[in-house]
Amino acid sequence: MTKTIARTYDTAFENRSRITAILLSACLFMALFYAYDVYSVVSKTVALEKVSRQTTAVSGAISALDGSYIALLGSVTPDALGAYGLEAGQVAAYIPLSAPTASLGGLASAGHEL
Amino acid sequence: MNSKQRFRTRLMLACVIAAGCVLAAKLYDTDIINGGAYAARAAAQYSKPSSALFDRGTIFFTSKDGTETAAAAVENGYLVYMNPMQVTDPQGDYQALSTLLPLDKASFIAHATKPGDPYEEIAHKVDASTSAAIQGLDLTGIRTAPETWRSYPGGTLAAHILGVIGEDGTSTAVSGRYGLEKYYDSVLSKPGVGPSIDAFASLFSGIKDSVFGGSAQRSGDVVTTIDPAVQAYLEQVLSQTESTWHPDQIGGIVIDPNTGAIVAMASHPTFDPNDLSSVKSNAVLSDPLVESVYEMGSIMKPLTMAAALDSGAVGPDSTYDDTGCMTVSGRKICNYDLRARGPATPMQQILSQSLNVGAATIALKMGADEYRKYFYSYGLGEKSGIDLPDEAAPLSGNLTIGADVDIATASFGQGVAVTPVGMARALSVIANGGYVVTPHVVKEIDYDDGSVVKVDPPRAGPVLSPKTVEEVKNMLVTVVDKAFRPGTIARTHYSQGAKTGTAQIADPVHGGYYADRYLHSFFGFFPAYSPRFLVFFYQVYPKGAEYASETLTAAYNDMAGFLINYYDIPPDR
Repeated sequence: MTKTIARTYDTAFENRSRITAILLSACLFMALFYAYDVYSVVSKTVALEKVSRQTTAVSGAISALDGSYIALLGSVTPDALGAYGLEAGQVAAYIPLSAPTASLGGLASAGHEL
Repeated sequence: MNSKQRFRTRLMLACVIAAGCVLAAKLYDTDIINGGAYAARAAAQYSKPSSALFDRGTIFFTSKDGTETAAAAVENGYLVYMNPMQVTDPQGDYQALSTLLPLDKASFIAHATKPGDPYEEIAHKVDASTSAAIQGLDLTGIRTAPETWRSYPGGTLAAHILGVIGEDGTSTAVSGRYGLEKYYDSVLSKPGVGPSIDAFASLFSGIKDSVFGGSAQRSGDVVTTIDPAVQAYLEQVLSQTESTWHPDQIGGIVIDPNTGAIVAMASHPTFDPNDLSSVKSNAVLSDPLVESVYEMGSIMKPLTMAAALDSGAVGPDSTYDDTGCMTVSGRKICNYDLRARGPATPMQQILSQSLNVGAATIALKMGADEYRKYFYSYGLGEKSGIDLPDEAAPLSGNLTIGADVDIATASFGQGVAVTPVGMARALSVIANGGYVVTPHVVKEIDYDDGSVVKVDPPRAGPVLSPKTVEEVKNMLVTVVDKAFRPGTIARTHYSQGAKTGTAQIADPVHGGYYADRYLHSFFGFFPAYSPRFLVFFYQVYPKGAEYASETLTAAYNDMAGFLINYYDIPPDR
């Protein structure tokens, strides 16, 4: 065990400048990588917050539009249309399917109001 | 290697071992001894475990053209809160915030100066721009956090059908409490976003699910059969009728009798699920159309007539001796006006004049077993199976005893109690040609994984022959065309079958029935021989009128007219 440690020590001592340079380079690289990661996380979190705010705004707008649409649907009633001078359609005549006439041709086969 | 190097080597080894021991000791201290304390500090990054952040599926209305509109959705916003222990200038903070939020000064100052209080909420449901402005103020101790809440864009529209959510009693998760929110809670519930307030902490709240996979629960959106325009009009008609007759309760159902799909269903009193603080009693949250049973009265007579015709006990041209009153098992049963119609009263008059003696006569002629068989075949002895929670079972146990008086009273809708939706289901049997459908308010579930499950309950039967159905329809069309006052509901080019019902209301205190309180009901379907819709109305104890024909005819007529125009239903005669 001691011999192994001694051999390792000798080798390391002979190459101490090279090893120091490699270790410092590795630390520098990892520090830069760490800084990049932190920047990446921070910027993505900020972007997430921004998107979250936009989603909130859009969600609120959609909800308001849904409410307006439903309210408009409910306001279109026969009474409301009557205020604009519109009346419910009246059936002028009914042509039964069982008695089509040649003069009416295809229209007779529909059996709908004229 | 000389002795110095050997010494240094051993010294390094000793340092490494010592460092390892220090690390191990520190690990033990951090994880085992103080682990709980650190976990508590981490949890302190959250405001409190709360349901402020949740996700939930959307419930949609479906318009006639297939457009889906959100009836219940999750809305996003912000919660403004403060840490009173960090607030240094409550007055200044109030001055700054009051320009952006409506705040009560005394309340704000009281909360901001609470000693030892780490958390107080200032405002909820704040929009994004206001939240950004508050953050821009950079007030010490004042922060904003994302918040979600359940929003019902239609307000009171279809409130009973949609229901509400509430916090679970045992945890802080939200779950459906009434209506579709409760019935489809397992579908609508989604895995929580997590109660974190801090943005960085929230990044890690979902790591476990991301790495190990989320829960196996399938969640999605619920698409209803409710048309918002029809629903809105139905509720308007109910409001108008309610303002005229001041009933204790009023309700209506518009159903496709062929499929059981409910297009509109509402009852008053109602509530706004966006503002439960205005609800005075939780009883209003229950849907009486599903959860309450009533003795429906004379709208049961068409079902009795159909049963009698189908069983062969009577024919459409049969007659009976109407004496005005009859005694069954010692109990007197009389027509509404106590008048006799004579010995050759035709079957049609039982429906046209709503004759109790006639209904009882034909039911007794069928026999108890036969009548009971048809009564239950209409689905009146069981829950309808509607996809809404807490459905009440009908009260018809007295029919199993088979006493003549029970059969006689059931024939005109007294002595047995059914839910309004169960009654609509039974009446649909006549409208749709003899089949028992399952009423439903949901037509499909759209799961988040993209799959779509259609809700298409099967129908049972036929329980009536086509000949019987046609005969009863002819009678009900005659009721509309001849029995109702001219110009009320008959339409020249649209055949309609309809019947009113006026039932006595049971007196729970003194027994028997109230002398002056009635339940009014009305049902109609059109076009009679190929119906698109069946419309059912009821109201409990309307004031100022005795008979349903006075109080509900206008409501039915308005609703039928609206549906004919809205759906462009072609004439049939």
